[in-house]
Amino acid sequence: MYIATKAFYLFVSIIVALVWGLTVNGIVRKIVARVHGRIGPPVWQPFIDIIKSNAKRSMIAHGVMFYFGPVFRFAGGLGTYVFIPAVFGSVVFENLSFSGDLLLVMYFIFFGQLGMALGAGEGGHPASAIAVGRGLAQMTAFELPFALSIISLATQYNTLSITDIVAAQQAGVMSWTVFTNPLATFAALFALLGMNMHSPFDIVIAPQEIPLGPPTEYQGSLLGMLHTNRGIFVSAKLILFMNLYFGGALNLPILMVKTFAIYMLSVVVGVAFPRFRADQSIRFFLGVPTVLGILALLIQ
Amino acid sequence: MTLVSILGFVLIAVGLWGMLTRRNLIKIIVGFSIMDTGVHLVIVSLGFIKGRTAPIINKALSAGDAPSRAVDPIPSALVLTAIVIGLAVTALLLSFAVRIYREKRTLNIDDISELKW
Amino acid sequence: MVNPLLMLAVALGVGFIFAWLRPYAKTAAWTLLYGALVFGLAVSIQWLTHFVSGGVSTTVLPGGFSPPVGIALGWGMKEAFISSIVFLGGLLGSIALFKTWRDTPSAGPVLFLLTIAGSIGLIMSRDLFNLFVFLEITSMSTAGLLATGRHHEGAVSGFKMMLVTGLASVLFLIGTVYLYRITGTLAIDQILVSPALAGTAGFTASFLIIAAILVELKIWPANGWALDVLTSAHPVIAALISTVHSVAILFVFYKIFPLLPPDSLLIFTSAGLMTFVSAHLAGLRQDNFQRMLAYSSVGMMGLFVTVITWTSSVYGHNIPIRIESIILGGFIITHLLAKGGLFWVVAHFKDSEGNFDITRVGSTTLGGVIITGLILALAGLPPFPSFWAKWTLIREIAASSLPIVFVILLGALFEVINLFRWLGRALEGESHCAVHAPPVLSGIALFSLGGFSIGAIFLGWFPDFNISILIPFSGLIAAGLVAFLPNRIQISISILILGLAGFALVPGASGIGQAYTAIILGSGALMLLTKMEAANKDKWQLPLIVGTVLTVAVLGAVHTALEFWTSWEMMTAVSALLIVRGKNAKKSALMYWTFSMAGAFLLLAGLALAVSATGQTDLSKVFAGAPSLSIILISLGFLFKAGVLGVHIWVPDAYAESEDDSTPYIAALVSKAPIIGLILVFYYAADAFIGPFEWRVLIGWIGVLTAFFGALFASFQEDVKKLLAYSSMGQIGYIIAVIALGSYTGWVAALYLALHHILYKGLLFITIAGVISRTQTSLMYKMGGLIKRMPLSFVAVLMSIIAISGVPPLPGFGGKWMMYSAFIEAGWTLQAGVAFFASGVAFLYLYRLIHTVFLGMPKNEHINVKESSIWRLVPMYIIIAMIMGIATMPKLLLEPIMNLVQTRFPATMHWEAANLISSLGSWNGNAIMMVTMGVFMLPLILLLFRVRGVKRVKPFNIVYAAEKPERPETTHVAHNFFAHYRRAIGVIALPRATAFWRGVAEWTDTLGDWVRQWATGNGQTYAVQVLLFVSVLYFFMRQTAL
Repeated sequence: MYIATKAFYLFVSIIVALVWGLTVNGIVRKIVARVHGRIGPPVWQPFIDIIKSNAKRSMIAHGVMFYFGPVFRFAGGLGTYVFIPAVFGSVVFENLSFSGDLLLVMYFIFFGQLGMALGAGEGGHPASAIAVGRGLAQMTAFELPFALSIISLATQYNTLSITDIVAAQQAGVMSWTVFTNPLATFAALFALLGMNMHSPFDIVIAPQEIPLGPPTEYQGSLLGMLHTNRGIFVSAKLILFMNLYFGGALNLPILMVKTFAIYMLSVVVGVAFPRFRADQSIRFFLGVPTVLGILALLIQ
Repeated sequence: MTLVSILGFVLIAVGLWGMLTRRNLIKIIVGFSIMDTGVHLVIVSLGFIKGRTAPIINKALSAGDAPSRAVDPIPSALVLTAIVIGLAVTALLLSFAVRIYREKRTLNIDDISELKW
Repeated sequence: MVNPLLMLAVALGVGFIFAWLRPYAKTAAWTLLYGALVFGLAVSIQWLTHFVSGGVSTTVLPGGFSPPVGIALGWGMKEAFISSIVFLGGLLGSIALFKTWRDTPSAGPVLFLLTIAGSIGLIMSRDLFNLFVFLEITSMSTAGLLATGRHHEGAVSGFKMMLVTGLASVLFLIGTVYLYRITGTLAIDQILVSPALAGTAGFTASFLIIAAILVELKIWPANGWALDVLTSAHPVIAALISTVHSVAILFVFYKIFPLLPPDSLLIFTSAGLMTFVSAHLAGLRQDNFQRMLAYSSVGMMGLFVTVITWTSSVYGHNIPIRIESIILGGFIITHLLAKGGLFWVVAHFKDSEGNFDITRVGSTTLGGVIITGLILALAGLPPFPSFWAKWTLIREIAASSLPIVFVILLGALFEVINLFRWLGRALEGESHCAVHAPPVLSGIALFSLGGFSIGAIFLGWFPDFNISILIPFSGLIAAGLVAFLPNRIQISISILILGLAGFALVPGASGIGQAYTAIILGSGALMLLTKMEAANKDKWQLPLIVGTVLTVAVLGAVHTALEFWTSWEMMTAVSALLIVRGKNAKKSALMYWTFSMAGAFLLLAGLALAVSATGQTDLSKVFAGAPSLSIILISLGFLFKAGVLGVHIWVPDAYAESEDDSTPYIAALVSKAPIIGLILVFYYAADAFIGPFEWRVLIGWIGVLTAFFGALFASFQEDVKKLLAYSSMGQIGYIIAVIALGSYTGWVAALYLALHHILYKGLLFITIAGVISRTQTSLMYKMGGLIKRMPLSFVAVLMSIIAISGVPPLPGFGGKWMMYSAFIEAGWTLQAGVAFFASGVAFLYLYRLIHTVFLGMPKNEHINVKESSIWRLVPMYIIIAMIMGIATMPKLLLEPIMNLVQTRFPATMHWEAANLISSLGSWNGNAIMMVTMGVFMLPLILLLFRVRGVKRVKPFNIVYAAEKPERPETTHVAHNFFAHYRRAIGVIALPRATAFWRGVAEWTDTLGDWVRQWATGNGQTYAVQVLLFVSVLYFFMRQTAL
C-alpha cells in the first residue's frame, strides 16, 4: 500500500516537474527570440516538439548503445529529479530523497550525461564527438566552483542532506544561503550559467554549426525522449539551486516563482553576451567563480 | 737522527723525484731503486748503536756478550730481506718495461695511458 | 686437526713442484695443483667448523720462538673463515682458468698458487715485517699474473700497479722499522699494548703503515691503478685480485688499524664512504662491463673499511660476533661469489676477439637465471646473504649516525641502478651459446648460500624473522620448476600455489593485513585465469607473475619490521623483473627500479631508525614508538613507490612498456603495496604524524594533487596503457589522501576504494589487454568502433568507467561519497574541492577511453577482429558480477571493513537498515540501485514499445552536410581529443617532474664523469695521487689526534 501511494505521488511529482520545466523552456525561448528581435516560437513549442518527434517513426539505429543513449539521458534527468525533495515539507513532492544526499544528486547528474555521450559516440558522427569533448571539458570547469560552493554549504550547515539545508533556511528571507553565504551562492550561480548551456557557454550545443551538439544523429522517438528530458532536467537543476541557495519552497507557486527567477539569470546573461570558445569558457570558470568558491571555503 | 738516516731520507726524496718527474720507464725504475736504497739505509741506521760491534757471534763476540756489545741485529736481518724483495720488484718492473717496449716501441710513460676512465 | 701452516706450505711447495713437474707429467702436475687447493679448502673449513662449535683460537709459531724473537701466526675463527673464502675463490678461479692454462703454457698456475699462498700468509701473520713480505709476494705474483695475458695491456697495468704498490710498500717498511725502533718488537699484538705507541713517533709510524694498506685497499682517490688492473686483467685473474687478494689485504687492515687512536676512526669511515659513493657514481658512466665491475669492487672495499671502522667506533674491541658475522661475513661471501661470479661470466662469454657482449649472457635460460641471481645478490636483495648484511648494517648505523646511513644508501642506490641497467641489457639477448662450469658453480653456490642464510635464521640469528615470509621465493621457484609443462597445467599449478600460499599465510595474519593478503591472492588467482587463453610463448613470465602476486600478498602477513622490509624488497625485485621483460621496457623498467629502490632505501632508513630507536622488532611496536623522523622517512618511501605527484614519472612507462599480460598485476596489485604500508604505519603511528609539523596534512595534499594531475595527464594520452597508468596514479592519490585523514570515515573510504580499485583496474587492464591483443596496437586513435566486434569487452569497460567515475549506482559512488564526507568532516575542504575537480577531469579520460576505442567509426583493418577469448571473458564477468553485487549490497562489503577500522578509530558512521548514515548525510546503495533501475527501465520499456522495426545502418550512414564521409581515419574524432582542454589549462600539465628528474640524472651523470676522470691512465699521476692522498689523510689525522 505504501509503495503504491509512493509511486502515485512520484508520478504526480514527475509530471508536474516535467510540465513546469517544459513551460519554462518555452517561455525562455520566447523571451530570447524577442530580445533577438524575432517573433519566436509559441510558448508551448516544447510540447509540440515532443509530440511531433514521438509521432515520427525512427527508422535507423547505429547500435545498441546508440539506442540506449536517450534512455540513459532520460533516466539521468528523472533520477536527478527524484533524488531531490522538490517542495519542503510536502509528502507528495519529497520524492525519493531518502536514498542519499547532495553528493548523490551531484553525481547522478553525470549519469545521464555519460550515457548520452556514449550513445552519441556510437552514432559515429564527428560533430557528436566534438560536442561531447567540449561538453565534458566545460563540465569539469564549471563543476569546480559548484563543488566548492557545495562543500562550503556542507560545512556551513554541517550536513549534506538537502532537506536539512532547506530546513535551516526557513527562519526568514535573511536566512537564505544567498544572504548567509553570498560567496558560495555566486560561485554556484556562475556554475549554473555553464550548466544551462546558454550563451556564452553554448559552444557545446553550438546550435548554428553543430546541430544541437551530441544529439545530432537522433530523430523520432529517440529525439522525443531527449526533448522530454530537457523539461524534467531543467526543473531538477533549478529546484536544486532553489533548495540550496534560495530557501526552498513551501508550495508549488513559490517553487515556480523562484525557479523561474533563477533561470532568468541564465537568460539575461545569455542574451547579453556572445559565445565563448571552449578553452575560453574553461578558463573563465577556473577564474573568478573558482576564486569565489575558494574564498567561500576559506571564510567558513 | 744519524747522518746515515738523513742520507737515507735524501735518497728516498731523490728517488721519488725521479719516479714522479721522469717520463722514461727505465729512469722511473732507476728512481724506484734509489728510493729503495734510501729505505734500506734508513733501516740499517735504526739498528746502529754507537760504539758496538756487528752482531755476528764468533770468537770476538760470544753469545753471552752479544746483548751488551753488538748492535741490534734485527734491522740488519730485515734489510737483507728488503734488499731481496727490492731486487725482485726492480726486476719485475724492468721485465714489464722490456715487454712494453717490444710491443709498443716506446718507453715514454705518457704513451701507455690509453687504459683509463 | 691439521696444522694450518701446512696449507701455506703445501700451496707454496706445490707451486714449485708444479713448474718442475709439468713438462714431464702433466696429469700429476694438475692433480697436485688442484689437490693443494682442495686440501687448503678442506683444512680451512674443518677448522672453521671447529671454531664455530666452540674451538679456541690458537697461535702458530713456525720458528718455534715466541715474539719478539720469533714470528707469530694467528689462527682463529676469522682467519679460518677468510682462508676458506680464499681457497674457495682460488679453487673456482683455477677451474675457470684450466682451459687457458692448458692451452698456453705460462707461469700462470705457479703465480696463481703463489698469490693464494701469499694471501694465506697475509691472513695468518701477526708480524709487521712478515706482512710486508707477504704483501710484496702477492703484489709481485699478481702483477706477474697480469703479464701472463697475451696483450701488452697486462704489462702496462702491471707496471702501474708495481709503481703504486712499490710506493706503498716503502711507506709500510719505513713505518714498520720506526715502530720497531720505538717499541722493540714487530709483533702486532705486542706493539698494540706498548705505551710508546701513543707518542707522535708511534702515531706517524702507525699512520704510514695503515696508509699503505689503504692504498693497497684501493681507497679513493688512490685507486686509479686498481681500476686499470681489474679492467685489463683476464676476468678470472681480476676476480682473484678483486676478491681473494683484496679480502686478504682487508683482513690485514682489520688487524692493524687499532694501531691508530680511536678518534681517527671517523676519518677512515669517511674515506671508506667516499670510496663507496664515488666508485658507484663513476661506475654509472661505464660502458665496459668489466670496468664497471672494477668500480664495484673498489666500492665494496670502501664499504668494508667503513663497516670495520664504524663498528669498532661503536663497540670498541668487543664487536658482537653475531653482528660481525652477519655484516662482514655476508658482504664478503657476496663479494666473492657474486662479484667473482660476474667476472667469471665475463670470462666465459667473451668472444674469440676478447670482446664481451652482455646480451649474449641472457640469451640462454641458464645464463639468464645465473646473471639475474648474481646481480640481485650483489644488489643486496633477499634471500641472499648481502641482504641480511645490509639490513643489519643499516639498523646498527641508524642507531648512532643517520647521515652515514644516507651516504651509504646513496652509494647503494647508484650501485643498484647501475647493476639493474646491466641486467636489463643482459636479458635482452637473442643469440645462443653454451654455458660451462664456473659461472654455473658460483651461481649454484650462491643460491645454496641464499639457502644457507635462510638456515641462519633457523639458527636464531634473526629471531624476528619468520620463515613463512620467504614463501613467495619458494612459490617463484616452484612455478619456475614447472615452467616446462603445458600452459594450462602450468597455470593450474600456479593458481594452486597461490591457494597454498593463502592457506599458509592468511591464518597467521590478522586484521586489515589478513583481509589484504586474502584479497590480493584471490584477485591474483582470478587474473591468472586469463592466461589460459593461448599457448605461452615465454615460460618465465608465469613464475614471475606468481612471484609478484605472492610478494605483494605477503606484505599483509608480516609481523616484524625485518619481515616487512624483506617482503618489500622481494616485491620490488620481482616486479621489476616482470616489467623488464617487456619488448621495449629496458628504460621504463630501469626508471621503475630506480624510483622503487629510492623509495625502498628511504623505507629502510626509516625502519632501521625506528627499530634501533625503539629497540623493538614487532611492526606494531616499532611504528608505535618510532620517532617522527623515521615515520616521515617510511611514509616517504611508500609515497615513492605509490608514484605520487613529483615521483610519478615511472608510472606510465612502467605500465605501458611491460607486457600486456603483466600490466594488470602491476597496476592492480603491486600498486596496493604502498597502500597497505601507509595503512599500517598510520594504524600504529598516527600520533607521530601530528606535531608542530603537520606531516599528515602534507601527505593529504600530495594525495589529492596526485589524483588531480593523474587525471589531467591521463586525459592527454594517446596510448591506452599510459592512459590507464595515469588513471591508476590518480586513484592511488585519492586513497593516499583519505588514509592521511586518519579518521574513521577516511579509512573506511580508503579500504573500500583500494579494494574497488583492484577490481575495476584489474578488469580494465584485462579487457584492454584483450583489445590490444586483437587489434595489435595500443594507440587509441588507431582503434574505433570496436563495440560492434567486441561488445562484451565494451560492457566490461563501460562498467569499469562508471565505477571509476563514481557515477551511481555502481559502487564507485560509495567510495566518492565516503571520501567527500571524510574530507568535510575533517575540515579538509580545499582538499575536497581539488578531489572533486580531479574526479571531474577523470570524466575526460574515461570518455576518451571508451569513445575512442569502442565507439565512433571502426577502422577497416579491424573490421574482422574477434571478441576476446572465453578465458579472458570469464574472469572479466566474475569481476563485473562482484562489482554489481557490491553495488546492490554495499553493506556486505562495508560492514567487515567498518569492523576492521573500528579497531583503530571510534565509529562515526552507522547503518540504519540499508542506509549508511554519516555525520553529514546518508547513502542507501540498495535504494539507489533500485531507483536507478526503475528510472532506467521506465523509458526503456516506453521506447521499446514506440520504436520498432528499426534498421541497423552501416557506419557511414550519418547526417553529414553535403559530403559523403568514407574514410574512418578522417571521420573518427580521436587524436588529441582534448586539444581545447590542453589549450585552456595545458600549461599546468607540462612535464615538469620529468624535466626535473632528467636534470637530476644528467647532473649525476656529469658528476660521475668528472669523478671517473681521476683515473687518467698515467702511472705517475696515480703515484702523485697516492702521495696527495697520504698527505691529506695525515693532515686530517693530525687534526683529530692532537
